[in-house]
This record gives sequence, C-alpha cells and structure tokens, in this order.
Amino acid sequence: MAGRALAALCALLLAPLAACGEANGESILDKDVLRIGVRTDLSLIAEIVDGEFVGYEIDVAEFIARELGKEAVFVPVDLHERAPQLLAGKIDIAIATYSITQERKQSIAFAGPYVIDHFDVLVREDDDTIASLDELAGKRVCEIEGSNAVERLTDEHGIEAEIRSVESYERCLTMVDAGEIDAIVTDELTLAGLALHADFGADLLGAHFSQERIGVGMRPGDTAGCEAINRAITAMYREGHAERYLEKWFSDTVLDLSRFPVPQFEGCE
Amino acid sequence: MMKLRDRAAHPPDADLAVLARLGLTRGDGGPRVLLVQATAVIAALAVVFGALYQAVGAAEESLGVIGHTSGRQVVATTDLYYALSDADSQVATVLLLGGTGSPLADAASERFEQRRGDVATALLEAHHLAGAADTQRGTIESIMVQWGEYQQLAAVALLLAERADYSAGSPPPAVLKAYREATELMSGQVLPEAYNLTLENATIVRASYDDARGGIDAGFIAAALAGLAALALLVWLQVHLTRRFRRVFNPSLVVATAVTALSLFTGLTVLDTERDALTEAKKDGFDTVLSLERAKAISNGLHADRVRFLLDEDAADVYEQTYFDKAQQLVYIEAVSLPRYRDALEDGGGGALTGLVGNALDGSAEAERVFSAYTDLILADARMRVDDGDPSVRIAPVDEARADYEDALDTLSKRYLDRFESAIAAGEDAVAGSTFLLTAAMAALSAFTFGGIVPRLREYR
Repeated sequence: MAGRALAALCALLLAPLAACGEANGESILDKDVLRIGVRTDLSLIAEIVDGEFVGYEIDVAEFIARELGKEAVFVPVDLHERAPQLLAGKIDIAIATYSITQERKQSIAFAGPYVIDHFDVLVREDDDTIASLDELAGKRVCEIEGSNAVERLTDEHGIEAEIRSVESYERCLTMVDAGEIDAIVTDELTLAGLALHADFGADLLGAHFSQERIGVGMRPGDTAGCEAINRAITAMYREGHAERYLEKWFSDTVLDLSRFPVPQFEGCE
Repeated sequence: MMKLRDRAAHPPDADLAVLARLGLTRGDGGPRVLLVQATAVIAALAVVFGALYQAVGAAEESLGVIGHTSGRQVVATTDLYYALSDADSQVATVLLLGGTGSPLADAASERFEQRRGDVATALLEAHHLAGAADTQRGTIESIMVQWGEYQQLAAVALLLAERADYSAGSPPPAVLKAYREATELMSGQVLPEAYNLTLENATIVRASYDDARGGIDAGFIAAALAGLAALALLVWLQVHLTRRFRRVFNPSLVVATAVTALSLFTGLTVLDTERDALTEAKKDGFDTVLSLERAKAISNGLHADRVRFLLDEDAADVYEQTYFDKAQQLVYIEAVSLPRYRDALEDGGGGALTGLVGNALDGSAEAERVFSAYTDLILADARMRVDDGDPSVRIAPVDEARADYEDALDTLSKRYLDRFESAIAAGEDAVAGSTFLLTAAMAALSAFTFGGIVPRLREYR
C-alpha cells in the first residue's frame, strides 16, 4: 500500500499533469450539440413537413435536449441503421421508436423508456377474416427491416404468417390498400398515424399482443449521460409534458390515451 | 561558543574580509531572508495539509452518502417496491382462487394484510431518508396517495369476488375489470415511481463517488507536489543556515524535515487507503447490492406477471411476454421465446451469464444456490403453463420454488450487504481523527520551523 502510494507519487511527478485527467470514454454531457437520430417517415411520430422535423418523438427529443442544456440537431435514421450509426458515432442518441429489448442491450445502451407502447395489428376495415391475432396465421404481413414486431408475432406467439419484407410503412400501407398484403404489425403509436393517413378505411385490432418499452438508444458506457436523460424524462412526466405531447399528436386517433403508464426505467449500467 | 557567536555578530573589519572570501558574509536581507524562507516553508506545509484536509473531507462526505443516506435509500425503496408488488400479487392470487375460503386463498389474504403493514413501514423509512430532497419527498408522497387509491380499488375487487362466489380460475368479468383498474394503477404508476426512485439514488451515489474520487486524486497530487516543495524548502533553509552561520545541523529543522516527510507519507497513505475503501464500498459492495436489490424487485414483478397470466386470460399473452422480458433482465440468455429460454437455462445457459442476477454469480456456494433455485423456478413455471386444471394445484409448486429462490437471493444479497457495510466502516475508521492529527501536525511543524530560525534571528541583534 505504502509502495503503491510512492509509485503513484512518482508517476504523478513524471507525467505531465494534463495526462492525469484521462477521459473514461466520451459522454453526451460533454457536447454542446446533440445529434439525435430520428425517423422521418412516420405520421404523428416523426416526419419532415415543409423542411421542419415535426411529431411526437421530435417534441420528446427537443424536451430532453433542452433539459440537458444542449442544442438538438436531427439526423434522419432508418430502423436498421439505428445501432450501426450510434456505434459509428454518426449520431449521439436515437429517439426513433426504439424498443428496449434484452437482446439489443447486448450491443447498445438505453436510457428511458420514455413511453410504453403496445404492438397491434392494422387491417382493412372491410376485412372480416382477421379479428384476432390467431387469425393472422396464413395471412400476408409486412415486415420492415430492423423492427422486432414480426419476431414477436412469429417466434413468441408462434403465429405462422406469410412475411413480406418491405422498405417502409408507407409502402406497406399502399400494399394493404392494393390488397397485396393483409396486415401491418407494429406499435400502436405508429399504426395510429398510419390509420389516420390511409386512403382506405383502416382498423386496429386492439390485440395489444406485446408491451414495448420505447427508449433512447445510446452508446454503451455513458452512465452519467444515461442518468441525465432519465432525469429529463422524469421531469417530462412530473411537469405534465409527457401527457401533453401524447394529447397534442394522438388525441384525434383511435388510441385510448388514459392507458399510458409512467415508464419504469431500465437503469443505466 | 558565546565567544564565537559574538565574533560572528560583531566581527572586526579584518575578519569581515576573511568571511567575505569564504562567502560567509550576511547579505543585505539579513533576518528578512530567514523569515521569508521560513514563511515559504509554512505556506507549502499549509498547502499540503489543506489539500489532505480537503481530500479527506471529500472522502468522508462520499462515504456518508454511499453508506448512510442514498445507499440506505436504495435498500429502503426496493423494500417498498417488494412490499407493493407482493401486495398486488396477493390480491391477484385471492381473486384467482375465488375469494377467501380455500387455505391458499386465506394464506394470500393474510399475506396481503402483512404487506400493507410493510408498505407503511417502508414508506416512512424512505420518507425519513429522503431528508430535505424535495423531488424524492414529492415522489414518496405521491406513492402514499396512490397506494391509498390502490387499496380502495383492491377492496372493491375483493368485495365483488366475495359476493360472486365463483370457482377457482374463473373470475367473472366484473371482478376482472375491478382488478385491472387496481393493477394498472400499481404497475403503471406506483411501481415505476418506486423503482425509478431506487435508480435515482443509485445516480446520487455514482455522482458522489465520481466527485470524491476526483477530489481524492486532486488532493493527492496537490499534497504530493506541495509536500515535496516544503521538503526542498526545508533543506534549502538548512543549507542556508549552515553556510551563513557555520552550523552543520539545526536540530529543530532536522526534526521539522523528518516530521514533514513522515506526515506527507502518512497523509498520502491514508488517502490511498481511503481511495481503496471508497472503491471497494462502491464497486464491490454498493454496485452488487444495487444489482441484487433490483433483481429482487424485478423477480417480484416476474411473480406478479405469472399470477396475472393465470388470472386475466385476455391479456395472458402480454403477461407471458413481460414475464419473459423480466426473466432475461435477471439472467440473460439469447433466446427468441420463453420456451427456448427455459431449454437454454436447463442446459446451464452456456458461458458467462449476465443480467441483474447473472452479474452477481461469483462462483460462491450462495451464488450457485441462487442459480439453481432460479432454474428450478423457471422450470416449475413452465410446467404450470402447460398444465390444465385447478389453479391452486398448478401454482403450489411454483410458490414453493419461488420461496426457495427468494431465500437464496436474500442470502447472497446479505453477504454483499455485509461486505458493503464493512467497507464503509473501514473507510470511516481510516479517516477517523485525521482532522485533529492534521491540525496538530501542522502546528508542530510551524513551531519546529520557526524554532529552528529563532536562535539565528537573535544573532542579528
């Protein structure tokens, strides 16, 4: 112990002092500008209208950036690009309908969740062959790369649907309209936006077949940054903004907003 | 002796010439130089002791936060979570089994009453520990109000169940509806707030630890540099006196130099010990205690999800998924569904396990027991899910496995809690009385330094 004290002393005298403040990985708290990865193709959630980013998640992202005292810069990000762009340092955080799963946590970290969402099923109003989740067996369901909704349906619920890979939800909607697929499976916030803009009568089954905890994707190791975001989310709920944002964007949709709970945080490792 | 000093103080002119050749004449500064040198030594010593004092203070403060306020609050809030969550599980069990009457339902009813008392105790403890922290107090008060509402909603559901008089496993819709309202309040508002409060205290502990580590490191550097400067100045003063007054040693300054070296060495060693104690308390003690406390909370949610899975058929799929998610949070094994997870767990999980329980598996006998009890619990749960028939028969073996698992988890958690508490005590012992020692050493060193130059100052008279 004494030897170590001496060794430390010697090391201190030999090393230039600047080297002592060695950074233990970067934190978003050290930045003035936060590059926030967001979706751009989801009505009500996040889209670009007249060159401006607007939507529920944009409001949440702006609130979090404001609480952290940072300037928010939005970067469009595709579902399957969220983790790679985070890890490559192209975006600092992702607020992009990102469900927290234990599997995803093996490679990236999550703050939040900031909202608890459920997976549901969108079908044509006039399609009376699908009234429950089980009736999706043998039906054509579209899948967007990077989403975990179809995995939940087929692996966890064992429903053998016919899966079609499609590049965007907009395209899925056109295909449902054209009768090329039967259903879209994803979270109800997304489906509510899609249903609102569909050119046909669209229905949500109300199946709520999974609970999705939508969080803020981060690079692993930034505990202080993650904790600061959790504090911002706590403030968002305590001050009533969380409820206001949901009402602002989803009050005209089929969603029952009274059911949205306070999120239990995942915890920052 | 006196004669020599007289000659040095009042040398004849011829002697002055000799002294000048030898380089032993006094400069223009005379006593001022000596005083400046001595003051510089004292100033350097003041920096040494100031830095040590600061660093020790930072360590003491952080030990207090980790060991006595936020650290204890983590335990208090998870106790609260446990009591709340288990109260809800017991209500669900009574409703599942068709109200009171069967021994299992009566036991659940009794346990619910017991949990109500536990919730009250835990709320008071958490409120007390929150002290002046407004946000924390606000959250605890909000939980108090919502807990009151929950009890009313639960009472309605229990009353409806008693009146409906149904057989186990087939609660009527009115009972389910009343229970759903209660459990949505519990799992959608009360429990997240309690859990987030635990995490908030973990944040306070981490921030305090990082600050204290920074303070100790900075204090270490400052004390070391100023200490070396003080030693150099003391040696310089000694050389100066030797050359000027032809004394080989100045006993006072020799003592001052030795005491400075000793104090510096002791001070830095204490800081090093302190840093080790703090790191042990945080990394080996607190972090694992936190992980296991969170594991207890999540395990409780797991049990609640199982009972709700049986009780509420319409939402059974969601409860199975949230059960699976919680299981993976406890012991992570890559798997796409609950049945695959069970299979992988039965095969030992494969490789090093992670997750709240997985991280705490340190190879000890207690940890082995936790893992095997956890495996038994998940397997008992699997059998319950595929079985048909009387729910009270189906859940009995799972309840037994649950009790064994909770006991194992408690034993492991207790060991880490002891380790955490002894690391805090060790850290506090290491710094106990150091403020007094630092002040005493500083006073003694000032006395010795000035004591060393006073006789020489007299020679100027």
